[in-house]
Amino acid sequence: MNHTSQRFATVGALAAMLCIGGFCQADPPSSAVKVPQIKFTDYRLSNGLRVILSVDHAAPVVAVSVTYDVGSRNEREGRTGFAHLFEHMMFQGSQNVGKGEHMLLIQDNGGTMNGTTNQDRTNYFETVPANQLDLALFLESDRMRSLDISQANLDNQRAVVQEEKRQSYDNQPYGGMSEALQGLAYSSFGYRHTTIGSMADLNAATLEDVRNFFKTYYAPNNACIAIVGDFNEGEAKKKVEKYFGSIPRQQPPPVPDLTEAPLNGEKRKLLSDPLARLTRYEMAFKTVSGDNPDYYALSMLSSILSGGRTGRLNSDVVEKRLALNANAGVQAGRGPGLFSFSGTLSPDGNVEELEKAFDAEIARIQKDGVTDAEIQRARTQARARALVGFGGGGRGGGGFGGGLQTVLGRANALSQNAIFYNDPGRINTQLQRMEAVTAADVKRVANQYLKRDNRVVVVVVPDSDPGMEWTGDVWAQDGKGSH
Amino acid sequence: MMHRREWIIRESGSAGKIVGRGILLVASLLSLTLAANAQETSGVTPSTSAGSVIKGKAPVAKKLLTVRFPRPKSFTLSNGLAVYVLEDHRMPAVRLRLMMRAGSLYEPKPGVAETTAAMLTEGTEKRSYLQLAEVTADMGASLFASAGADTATISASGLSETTDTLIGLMAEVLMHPSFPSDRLDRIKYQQASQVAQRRSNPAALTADLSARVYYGGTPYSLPSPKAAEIEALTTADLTAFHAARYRPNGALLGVSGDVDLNHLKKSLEAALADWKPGAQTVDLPAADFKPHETTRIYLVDRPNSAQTVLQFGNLSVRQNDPDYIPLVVANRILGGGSSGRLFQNIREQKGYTYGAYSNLPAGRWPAVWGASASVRTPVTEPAVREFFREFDRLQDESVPAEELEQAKRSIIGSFAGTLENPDGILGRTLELVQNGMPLDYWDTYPAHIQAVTAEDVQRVARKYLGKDRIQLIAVGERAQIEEGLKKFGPVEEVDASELGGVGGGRGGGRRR
Repeated sequence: MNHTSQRFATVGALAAMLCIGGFCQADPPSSAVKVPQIKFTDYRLSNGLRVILSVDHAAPVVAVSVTYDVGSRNEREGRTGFAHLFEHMMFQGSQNVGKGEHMLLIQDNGGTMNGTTNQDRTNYFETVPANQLDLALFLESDRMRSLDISQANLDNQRAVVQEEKRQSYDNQPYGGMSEALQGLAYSSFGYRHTTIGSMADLNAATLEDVRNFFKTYYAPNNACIAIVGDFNEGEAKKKVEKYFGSIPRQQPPPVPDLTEAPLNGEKRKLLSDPLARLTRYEMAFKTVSGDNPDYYALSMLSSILSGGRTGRLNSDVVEKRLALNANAGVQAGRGPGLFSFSGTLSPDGNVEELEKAFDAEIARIQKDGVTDAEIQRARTQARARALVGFGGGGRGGGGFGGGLQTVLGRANALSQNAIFYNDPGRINTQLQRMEAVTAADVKRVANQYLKRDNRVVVVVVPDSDPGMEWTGDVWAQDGKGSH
Repeated sequence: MMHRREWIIRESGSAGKIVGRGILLVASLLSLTLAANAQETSGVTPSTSAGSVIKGKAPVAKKLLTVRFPRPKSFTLSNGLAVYVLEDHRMPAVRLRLMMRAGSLYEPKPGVAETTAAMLTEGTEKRSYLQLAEVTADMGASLFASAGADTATISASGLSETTDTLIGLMAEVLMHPSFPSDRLDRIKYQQASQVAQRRSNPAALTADLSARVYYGGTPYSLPSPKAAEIEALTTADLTAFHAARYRPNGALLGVSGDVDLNHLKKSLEAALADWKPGAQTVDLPAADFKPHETTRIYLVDRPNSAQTVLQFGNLSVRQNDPDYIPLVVANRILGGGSSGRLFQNIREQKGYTYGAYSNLPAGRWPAVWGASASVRTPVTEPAVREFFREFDRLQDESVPAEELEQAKRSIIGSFAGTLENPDGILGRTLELVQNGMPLDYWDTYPAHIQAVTAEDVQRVARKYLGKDRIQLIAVGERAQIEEGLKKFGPVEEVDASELGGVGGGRGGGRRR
């Protein structure tokens, strides 16, 4: 509602919290820091559609985000990549909207739109001038209610998606790396394969598959719509009921079996890549889902390791010329995330030395932990990200669409948090959870998860490299053409 | 943070896109008008265009929401630095951008400008690179410096409580960099290590080749420097360039966010009191810009490519040219986003690509009007044919009235979203100042867009695209695409090892 006054009220508290040089107490400062709270209304239509409304009159725009509880984790064997292909089909026509008409109408009226798919969900969103809310709601409701597509449309978008795979993976150096990591790390089919899928499976997709997928997953009771921006809440409620209220509820979709077996031993893979000119290394440890309290400690650990020039990996790896770049990161998803260490080697670099450096860094944290100054810095950076918007909306749960500073970033985060965690308000508590992490927590999760028998390693070498020498472990060797 | 699992599908173009990091604007800054245009109706007639089917049943508000951007306040410091400020107190944040005419256009030898900028944060008389990074990180702030063709920019952002400290840091790296030789060695090592990788990167290759193709023979060519050129740089090169070009005259400072104008003025005067004007010229180097008269194709072999990366273009105009506005509309129709003809035809109808777009930068010198797509290798020839077909169609046929109106509507309508981001609005003003445009440009822009006619579009398409004048850069598997490309014009093979220096592609095809 009135964000202005709330944001003002936080300023004084923040000033008290800025402590340069690490002299602050390591106690969680959350009581003193009030990040602007995003107010919203959360209710359901009788058909089960969850609706979240958040008014903000700051700019004459409104964002609509519809998140469906379906992602590539719901795909079956032989149909990898289908959830994403289906997302493209949602722009190919419904009962009252022609092929591509959605894109034309939004863009030609000054808006922006898109859809994205990942392992855990599919979302569709648009930002439009405030007077075009009806248009956005009409378009989203029409394709929730019905699809009107043809074999020609399917063939067209299959080709587009295959070009997307080529552009983003097959024509890029290291394009096969994430697929290899996922394949090694996960045991459930849902998380073992990539969202983009395989060319063969994309080729196998039929119109019948599209119809079944739509009926199974694209139902009001399997979705959440968030509307954020310059609108009147009472009027918006009426509009949502008008456009979405009569869409019939469907049977709840089947719950995928995502049971994950522990790794119980390190797995390694060596890939040769004709498009790469430098060797790239990545090791990944299997961790927890984004709603597990340990996620926040792992996230703070990644910030301490990898937070720019002050991160440990910069001083201990990059400055020592063991790699041209080195990063640590953790994912927030519904399934177990991966905590990874990665680096690109210089032409004269040595993979074993890089791995030893990563191992030494892990051992040091497991033994000695991190300093209070490091924790404090990571907290301050997290707070600045939340308030200033550095680094987009990743921590806020949106992950795209511009962070919580934009109406779209908030709409995406609200609807995704509702689908993932049944907790749209997580956008208001995320920073507190991050700031509550202590040095002891970080040391504990480093010991708990960063263990050798809980990791996978993938190394990509240039195709021209005449045989990397590796002593010690057994490598499964594979060429780029395998995926 | 990693987002490997995030699979982001981009279906919209760049124009009008609301980018992240925006902070919200106070409503009172807005002057909002609803302009009804009698020619625009909600009743879009059912029709079929290339790649799309229009059923015309969706409710479209007839009114076109036009907005007026708030005008930043400006003042000049006693040393001559021009400052533009857009106050916004909704979030406790601030962003500063100091831009000097210290880009590659003014460097005595390749690599000096970008290396000088990169070295600013590598150490000062008071602090090492690590101490600079630590004091910045401990405030939750960021501090960067980089150089483009025209300007070098120091950017600082953080919480507004830290504004004075940020200004102090900015002044420190601006006026007292120490250019430590071990850090220069480190930059040389990093750059040299990445040359091979860049030579297999289609974007880096096309950027370097564009510089040669469109600006060859002028000071604006600016291919990325070779590793040997970077290796030869000395601390003396950098200190001399810094002394000559990092001066307040001709420079601009933009500040957006939660600041008090009077306090800001005092802080800046104090922090920059010792920053004195210099004798450097701020005029652009003279050049004879010549659009190509005959089509040529430049082919870079990239073995094992899964796609051919195609980039078409020719020189067009400066932002202050009377033809620029009609070109904006023509560009929108041709390839501005998912409603553009290129996207509709080459993606939505033919399925050759994930995206096909055209692009018209707003420049201080003539920009390249370009179009591009990545297409699977076997359809390279038919894809090129469709590009040329669309270039021709824009010249041969008058654009239908409805398509013209929709293009204008999308350009004007997208301004509403810009208001979410005051730093974006400030950036638009700074761009005007940089390019020597009138400051009321954005106020009159919608009216100028509305005034563009179908005849204007056809005229500028003929003038700047032209028949048989387009240049084409293709990066892909030579053996599979060369014969097909020869059908469109003479093909010149360019060896990747002649391209792909170090650093970012920075050619004159880029803005500023």
